[in-house]
Amino acid sequence: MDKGRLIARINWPGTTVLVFGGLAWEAAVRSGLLEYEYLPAPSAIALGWGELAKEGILGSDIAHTLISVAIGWAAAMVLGIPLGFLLGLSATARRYCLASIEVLRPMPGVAFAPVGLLLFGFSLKTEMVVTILPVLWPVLVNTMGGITGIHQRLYDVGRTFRLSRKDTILSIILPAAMPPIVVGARISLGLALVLAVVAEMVGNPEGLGYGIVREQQALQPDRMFAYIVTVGFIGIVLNAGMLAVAEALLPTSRQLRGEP
Amino acid sequence: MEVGFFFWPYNRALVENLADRADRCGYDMIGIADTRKEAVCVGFKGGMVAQKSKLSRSLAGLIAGVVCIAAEFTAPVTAAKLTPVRAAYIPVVSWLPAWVAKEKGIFEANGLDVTLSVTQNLSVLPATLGRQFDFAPSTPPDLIKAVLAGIDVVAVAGQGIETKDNPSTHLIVRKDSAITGMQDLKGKVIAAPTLGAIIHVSVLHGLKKNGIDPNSIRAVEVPFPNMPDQLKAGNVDAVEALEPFAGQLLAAGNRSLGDPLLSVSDEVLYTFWISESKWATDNHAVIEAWIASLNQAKQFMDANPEEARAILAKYTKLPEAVVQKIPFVTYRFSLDPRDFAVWVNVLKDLGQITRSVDENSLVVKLK
Amino acid sequence: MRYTRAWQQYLKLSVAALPPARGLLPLVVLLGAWQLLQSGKSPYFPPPSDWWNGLMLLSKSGRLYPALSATTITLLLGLVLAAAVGTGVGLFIGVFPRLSRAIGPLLEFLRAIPPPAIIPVAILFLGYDERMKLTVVVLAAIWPILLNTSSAAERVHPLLLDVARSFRLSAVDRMRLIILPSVVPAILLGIRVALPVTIVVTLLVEILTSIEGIGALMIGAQRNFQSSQVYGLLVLIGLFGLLVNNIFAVFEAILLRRWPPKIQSENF
Repeated sequence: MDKGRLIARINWPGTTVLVFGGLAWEAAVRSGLLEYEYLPAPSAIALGWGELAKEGILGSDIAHTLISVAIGWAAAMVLGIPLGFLLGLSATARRYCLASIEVLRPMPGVAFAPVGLLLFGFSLKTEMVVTILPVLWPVLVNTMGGITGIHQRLYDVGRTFRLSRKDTILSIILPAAMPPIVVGARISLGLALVLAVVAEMVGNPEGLGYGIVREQQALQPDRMFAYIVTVGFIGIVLNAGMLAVAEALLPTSRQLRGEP
Repeated sequence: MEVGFFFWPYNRALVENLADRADRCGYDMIGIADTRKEAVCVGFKGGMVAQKSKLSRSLAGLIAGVVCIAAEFTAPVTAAKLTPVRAAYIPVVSWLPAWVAKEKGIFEANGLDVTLSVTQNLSVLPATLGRQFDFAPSTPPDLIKAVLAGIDVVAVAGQGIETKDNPSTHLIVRKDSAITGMQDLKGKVIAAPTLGAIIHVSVLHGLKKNGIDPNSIRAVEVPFPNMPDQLKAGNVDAVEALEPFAGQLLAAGNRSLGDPLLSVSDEVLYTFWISESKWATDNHAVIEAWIASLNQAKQFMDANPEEARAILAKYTKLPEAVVQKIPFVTYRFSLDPRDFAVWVNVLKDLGQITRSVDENSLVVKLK
Repeated sequence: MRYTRAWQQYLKLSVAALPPARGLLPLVVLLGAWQLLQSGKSPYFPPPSDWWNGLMLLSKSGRLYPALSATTITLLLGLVLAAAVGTGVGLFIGVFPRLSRAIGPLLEFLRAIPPPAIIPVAILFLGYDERMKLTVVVLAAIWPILLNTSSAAERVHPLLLDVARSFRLSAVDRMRLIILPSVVPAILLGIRVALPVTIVVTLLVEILTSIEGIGALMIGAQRNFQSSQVYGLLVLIGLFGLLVNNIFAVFEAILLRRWPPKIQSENF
């Protein structure tokens, strides 16, 4: 691939906006417009980030949070997709479960932090207790919605070809439901990151969330913001990664890009 | 010539594996010796002992044996009698003696092998005792509420007290504020670190003492580092701060309305250690060793303040300039149940607890 | 042809839109099992009967209703604001896709930052009051609505846009008559998804800052080691979420009862 195409693929307008925003922030802090002890300039944040990277704690913190995210998300997928299938395919199951799901959905994961701490102390498992329930719902609801949303005509096609149950599931249901499932997985991934960070801020003192709290208490706002920025970047990377996987699996990218 | 020493406690088989590995790494003379507690494998490489002769091996073995026996004699107590203890701490100056005791080997000298873990949040700790921790930090309101809720914890060793001569918490207002004392706080917004915590409880008590209804103020939770900005921006009228944040706020020109803890009493119990009741009953010796270590650590701190500050910097990770100015808290490591009775009355008076609790049940009986 | 009143029609639509009440059975069974297994008093896992007592205690002390109303107000205002801003920005992005490329990375970045990290920054600029709470809630709840709206606006069927061109509609009219009606179902779906997010983030802000609300009550109870109150409040939150969801489902069903079916431009 030649350099021209590579340059064309970079999002120039987007990058410009980001850079411009950063410069505006820097100017605001330096000119005294934004004078807060707790809001450092981007240059200070960059320096703080460099310090953290050099000391090596940034690397281990990122690793810890990523492991937490991976386990929580994987558990949600392993639990959510089969349950979503069950609920999607069986109207009876839906009748007996939907209301309960709606009751459980608004519960903030952070409310389970003390329970997790009680059972597992300061460990990764506590983060799991906080992460699992909220992360489960997008996958489950989207899978269920994806299956119930399959157009009747597709089932008719399956019947015309006299497909067996297994073939129906493999050739008709699965491909048709894939886009919403993938979107659900994408939302869950972002949510898993948020919850892992929250769990680390109020529960298990390890990882990026704890880094934020620790640097805040140690009166180092530039390092604290460096952690926040890191979390933001990891979110972008995870999201982009998921989108790339989705495009590789199913080239109907337009449907996936914007849906919830 | 290079010498490799490989120490390994208790397991000779492992040492022999190490010996094989040393052999493969090119160490020539390899000797193994072990006693009941320690095993030593010694390897020499290069120089005049380049040949793997039988004589050189025996020589290495002899040296290993000598090292082993020497090791056993120089530290017989530590090898045999260290009790593992897990303690939590909060990275605030109040808990400095524990860090000093660990860094200077005082715990080990008293027979304790202490692992310290950091945490930011006091209120979750009672649940972790007996599972993850043996000792945890606490304050009187925290302990009283936990015991009343049925959690089986007890105070085992003192830590900090607040006295008139050495106040460490302050109720701070802006220097141009119209507020001159607690009586002016009616209807104002006060920033507290945590709403149920000891500082806020004492502020509420102080308000009541000055004739103000505690419900007339609006309290918000602000982490200490955010307090200067919030005060400056006028979002809050007063902040409750402890060191080093209080020192910074005062240095920036803000005014102190006084130490809220002293409204409870001129000399009041502030921080202490708690443990699970059952563990405490079974482990009096450990608790006594803990208290002795803390006392010795305090003596060290009095004699070597500079080194103590270095340890403070290491554990709180605060900037150097801030660490230099933090005043040390007044420490007292013994506990008196009557100090708790004061707090029980304060909490009852504020309506934060509905039942009473016998203060003697709050403190472990060591005698 | 039998003449049915409007409200009878609405009622039928509403009932059809609600999840059946027997869906609560799994939770009821769970609670029942907990009640049976947990006989005595436990400081950390009290039986459900204790939860009721805890809640009663809270309501008697007069703190439950103010907290509930504070949370509800934040929730409703947050939803309305998120819907308004999300729809506006979403339409803008959908209609001008080049703009979306420009602010895309910035939006992605903001979306990735977890609310607890936004809170200290929001507090700096807005202090400790309702405005800060609303800002954080809106910032978190806006995304499903925005993404849904922008994607639907992007995918308005070209046929409809041709109709707009044929009739030489002005930009405003095109927005009002063609784009908006196509997009309304997607907006409603976005709001539906944003509902639990709004509740969770409202509670999260209250938990982390102790600003008045159910979340503040919950964290206060936790710190006082009153687990029965915490669990009672959790049940309250769950039922509250169910209620809000049901109200919205009814609203959606009534609004969309005569909406034209969506022209599917792509494979089903």
